[in-house]
Amino acid sequence: MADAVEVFDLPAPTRVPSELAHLPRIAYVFQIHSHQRPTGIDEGILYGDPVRRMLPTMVHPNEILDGAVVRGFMGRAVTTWATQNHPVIRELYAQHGRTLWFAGVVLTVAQATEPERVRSAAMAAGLVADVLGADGAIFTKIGGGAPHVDMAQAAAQCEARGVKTTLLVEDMSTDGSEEGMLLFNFPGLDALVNVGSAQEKVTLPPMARVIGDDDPAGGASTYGAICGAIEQVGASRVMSEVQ
Amino acid sequence: MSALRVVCYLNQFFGQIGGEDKAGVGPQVFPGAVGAARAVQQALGDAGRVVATVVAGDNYVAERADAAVAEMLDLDRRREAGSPRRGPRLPGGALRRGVRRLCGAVQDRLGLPAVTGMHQENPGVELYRRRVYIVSTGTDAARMLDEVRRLVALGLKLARREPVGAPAVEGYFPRGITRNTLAGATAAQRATAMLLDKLAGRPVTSEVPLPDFPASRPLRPCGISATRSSPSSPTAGSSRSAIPIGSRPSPPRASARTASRAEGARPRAVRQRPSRL
Repeated sequence: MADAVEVFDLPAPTRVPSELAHLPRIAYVFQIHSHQRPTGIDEGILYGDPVRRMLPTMVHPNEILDGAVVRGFMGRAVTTWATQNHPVIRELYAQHGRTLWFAGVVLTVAQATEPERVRSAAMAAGLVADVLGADGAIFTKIGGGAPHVDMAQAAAQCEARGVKTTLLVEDMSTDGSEEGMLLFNFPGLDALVNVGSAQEKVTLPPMARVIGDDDPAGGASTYGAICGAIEQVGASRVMSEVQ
Repeated sequence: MSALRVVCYLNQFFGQIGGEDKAGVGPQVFPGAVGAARAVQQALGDAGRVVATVVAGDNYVAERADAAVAEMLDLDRRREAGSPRRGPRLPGGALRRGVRRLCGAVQDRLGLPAVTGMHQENPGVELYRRRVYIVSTGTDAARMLDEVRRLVALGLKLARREPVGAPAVEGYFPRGITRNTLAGATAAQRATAMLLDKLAGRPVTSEVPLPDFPASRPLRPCGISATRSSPSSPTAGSSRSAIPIGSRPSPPRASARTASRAEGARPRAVRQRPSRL
């Protein structure tokens, strides 16, 4: 017997009921791996494929909820749990048919070379603007700092095509200063949400019982070391605030 | 919680020892709350006691800067203050230059929290907001009591080492430092709401401050070329080309490629969207 039943029902993009055709069409551009650290031959990310040289592609959001994507071995500020209970997909579903029409999910990877990055940005924007016909798109990234540029280039291409964008960025400042937070500056990329700073220090109090560490005495740590505190797909409420 | 001991630093006008005629007066210390410091005491209530008010002339501090600050600190050190507090400033007081130095010195040398107030047009704000908590104040003396309350509230938090809230909430100028906090909703929820606002044309506040570079015009070329070779010289046939100083650099290659690809690659339907890259 289930404790709760949730229904995720999304027809193909072309089958929009006419009475809901006025809703803004929102796509989600999901960066699933960063080739800053290339995948190993057996490091399955998308349906078990190591997504080497992956070109932008599309899946139905339910495939993500059903486990099509796992995080790679590096796993910086991302958990497979958050990936598969995907907060952006769940939120778009929550609003679907009411304030927006969930147009679909585009998958990308952060590339290791500039020509591949440019190609990927153009193709992702093409899928969002021409195939999904989206009015707006939400972007997330994975990995470290450089993938912000992949994400921003794809979003800038979307903005240039008239698709409004919102990006989830990570506060990358190494010295706690506001200038270090942001790694790009493109026209139109003015709607930014941040998922917090993984590098910010925190002091953990001693605990009687600790899971996932040897030392119950606590002490100096960082937010990034606490599993689930900083989630690049946007599952956490931690936010870096300028004071 | 024991009452905090507070010292206020004021200029001659707010210290009520005179106007411009007393601007050259050296620092004096008065017991208890004098002049505008009485507003601070009123705002403090039972939470603290203004044990002393240090008053110095605007010009005295402006002309002697570090020496004046050291003098004022000496007067302070001779008391046993829990938390010095500065009185609010209206723009026009030359003591403002001394005020920010003073706050910095109190924090560094005495190890005590300090807070002051400035109008947003005061150049001291940009210079010192990262080092010192500066409460935003106006030009209207009638609002002073309200602003003093904000100043005192912030000062109490600093003195008690309580966490300080966001600049917009506590009323101080952003110090340009980042701190993790807990938002009311997940980043995914906030992003969805933000995108719907942007699509609807409603104002959007980015959670990451966007760089704000002032627009600049390129310099006109002044006609001096990079090479000096004349047609008859031995280097006349060299492959170095002259680059006029002041010419604009060509756009980055990547964007030129992507712009042409975006515009020419696939047939467009009715709407033509201009590339902004």
